[in-house]
Amino acid sequence: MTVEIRPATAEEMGEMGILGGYVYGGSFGDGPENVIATANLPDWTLCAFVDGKLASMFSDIPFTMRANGRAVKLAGVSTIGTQPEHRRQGLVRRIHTRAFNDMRDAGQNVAALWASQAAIYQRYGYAMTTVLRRYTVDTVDIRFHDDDGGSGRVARVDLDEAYDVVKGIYVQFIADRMCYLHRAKALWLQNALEPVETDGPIWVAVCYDEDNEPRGYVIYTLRAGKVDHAARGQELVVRDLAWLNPDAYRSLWRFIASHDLVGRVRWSNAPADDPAFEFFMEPRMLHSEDREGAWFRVVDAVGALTERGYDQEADLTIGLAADPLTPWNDGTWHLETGPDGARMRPSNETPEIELSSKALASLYTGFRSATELANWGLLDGDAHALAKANAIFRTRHAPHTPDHF
Amino acid sequence: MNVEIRPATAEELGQMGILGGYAYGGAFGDGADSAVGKFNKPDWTLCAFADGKLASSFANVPFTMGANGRAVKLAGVSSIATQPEYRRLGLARRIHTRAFGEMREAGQHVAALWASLAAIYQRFGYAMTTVMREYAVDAPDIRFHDDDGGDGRVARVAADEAPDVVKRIYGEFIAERMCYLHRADDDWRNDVLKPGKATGPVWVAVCYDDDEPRGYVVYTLRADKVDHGARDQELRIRDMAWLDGNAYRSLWRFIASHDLVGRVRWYGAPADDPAAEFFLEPRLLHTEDHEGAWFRIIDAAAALAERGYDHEGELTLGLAADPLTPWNTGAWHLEAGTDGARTRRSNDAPDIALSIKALASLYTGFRSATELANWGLLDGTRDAVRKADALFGTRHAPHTPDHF
Repeated sequence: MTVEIRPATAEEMGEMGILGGYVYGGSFGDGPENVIATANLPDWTLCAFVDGKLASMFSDIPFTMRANGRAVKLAGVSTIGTQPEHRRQGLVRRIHTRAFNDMRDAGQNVAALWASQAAIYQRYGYAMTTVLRRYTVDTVDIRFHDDDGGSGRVARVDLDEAYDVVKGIYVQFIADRMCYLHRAKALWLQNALEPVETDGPIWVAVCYDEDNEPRGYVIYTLRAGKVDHAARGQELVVRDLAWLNPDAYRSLWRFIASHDLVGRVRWSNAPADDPAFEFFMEPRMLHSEDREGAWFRVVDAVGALTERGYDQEADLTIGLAADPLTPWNDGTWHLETGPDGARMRPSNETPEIELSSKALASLYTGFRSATELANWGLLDGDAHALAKANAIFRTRHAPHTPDHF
Repeated sequence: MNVEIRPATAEELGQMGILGGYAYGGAFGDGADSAVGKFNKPDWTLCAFADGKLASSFANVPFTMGANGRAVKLAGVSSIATQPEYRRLGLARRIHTRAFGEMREAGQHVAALWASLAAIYQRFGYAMTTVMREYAVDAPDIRFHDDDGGDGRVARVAADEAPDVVKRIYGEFIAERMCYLHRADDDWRNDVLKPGKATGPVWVAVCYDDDEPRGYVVYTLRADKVDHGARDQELRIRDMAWLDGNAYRSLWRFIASHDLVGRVRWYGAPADDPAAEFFLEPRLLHTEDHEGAWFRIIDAAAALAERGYDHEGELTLGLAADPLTPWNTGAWHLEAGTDGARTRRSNDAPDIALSIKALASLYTGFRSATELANWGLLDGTRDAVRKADALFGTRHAPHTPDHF
């Protein structure tokens, strides 16, 4: 058996489509012209060919994401699938080993993926560091405990006008945030703005402040016959929601609540630090559920830790456990951070905190604090070091990646 | 209408039981000897009598709770109910106004309750600051991504031996934690270790490390609960505590050895439970965070001074006017350190400004100052907010698994 690890050619993309149709059970279409074949570029792919036939596939979609005030390159790992005849042969590991090197060379110091199964990717040092919060709430239960439903004017905009307005708000919304993707037009059109036949047309409502400045938006669909309720049979699905201040956030909910025939509002990709709980009169009526989000992997620790944004002036010596997939990260590093930037160099000192690649992803994204990781036995360090690490890695907002890729 | 606010007498507890039966729809029993009538003491109660008849009830169960390494008094607010003929008259507010004053005098600087409806209690400055995490997982899905199932020896202990060993572990488990209640013998007997008709016997398994107890799980087992050809039993975790990660893993491994169990349900895990970090397939935990207990700061200066802190720091807090606890209003200087904390009135401009409700979120460590500021619930410069993040951060997430 000869195994060759290389990108697929343009001619081979159809084979990837067929393999994707098989392994995902048709979720993204079947046959050589499905999404897998058409949305990937040959350059992004890295596949295993066994005796010349496609056995295992992988792609690295080049994204840019926010990192606490900075923009950093992100490898969007996607389209992983192996023919059943070639499973348990370590092909995905071989691909990952080479891909992590390629990413490093390309300056993609962080990678992320949506896991079909966590078991596969925990082995490769990915950690779940974002959640998708789902709310399911009846419109009559959208009430504010402090009676403050916001003072913004919310109005729908035509779809052809919408793109520029929502993009402008989104860019500002994510600027200070963590793990949100920069959205190219294609990503807007394939995710938030993509119509789905069963959900009907897409609506966009924008919140304007008293100076007529757009300060938030909600992208949503409306369908009747979805809720078993004699008067409120419609479902309103929130596709995407962004706000530049709490007043806009409240105003958008008030606008949603004005849909008197809606018995269920469902928002399935709210962030972990969404404030609805703090604003609602009866928070339990949100029926909030946190589902698994994207998994992150620190590919190049020096690159990733130096390019992230920090709010704390401090330094810390970090010991990273041996990791055969990214051996260049092993050892002890001295990190110096500040609001103006960060530097990192190898160190001979005793590390103040010690952790694995996987735990580093949790810390880097701000999803877990050093204290939490230490409580769970996933990080070593004394109380002083933990306090310092908590302060250094804390992000302004919870990490969140609402876009599937 | 002549309204009198006073404690119920021993003779009047039966009336409270009947009112509780009505207001809670029988959840705690009906009639004079319902749990509401039976478990409250006259001293704990504060009721509104309208023209001599019980119109509204309230109880303050005296608890002690852990507060990041310290023990503090907690007013366990409970048994609140109003006859339907007397609702919307402001009786619960009148009771609360007086009760908050009495709590303060009794040195109960923090209060908590389980809310029938959040709407009622948000008005009174309570904030939801704990969650009840629920897992529902099939026994074969209890697997560790790093293959580390712990190496503790886990064995069941006889019912009569159990209280001593679990009490000792629990005491150590909560020592550093936040918002956990100190449990009296009655709490163990009437709650955690009490067998129920529907749940069957209560089992207690203890994890030992060289014969030293390091963790326990209290649970029940019932057949015919799961629609599964081979695993139709449900194992319900009542309570679980662990002194290290190894004991935690070992207890799950023990639970997983119940081959006929198709569903392990734990309702009441803390928000910072590590299962999602340890499991091979975390999504199979089917995690759901339900509303937990609501906390209220009664006396801000005293509550802030008696809590445990892990950082040296100083901060001036400006508390918004609150008609229910007017003594809290204004600016306070907090000086905190690992050895203790002091608060005093201040004339300085506050570093951070917030409401009494937001203070409950901050005090318990449930929300960070950064989060509250992002949501418009706290004002302060970025430096002040970061200082508050560090000061109020707790070693563990706040959690109150006990209902009262």
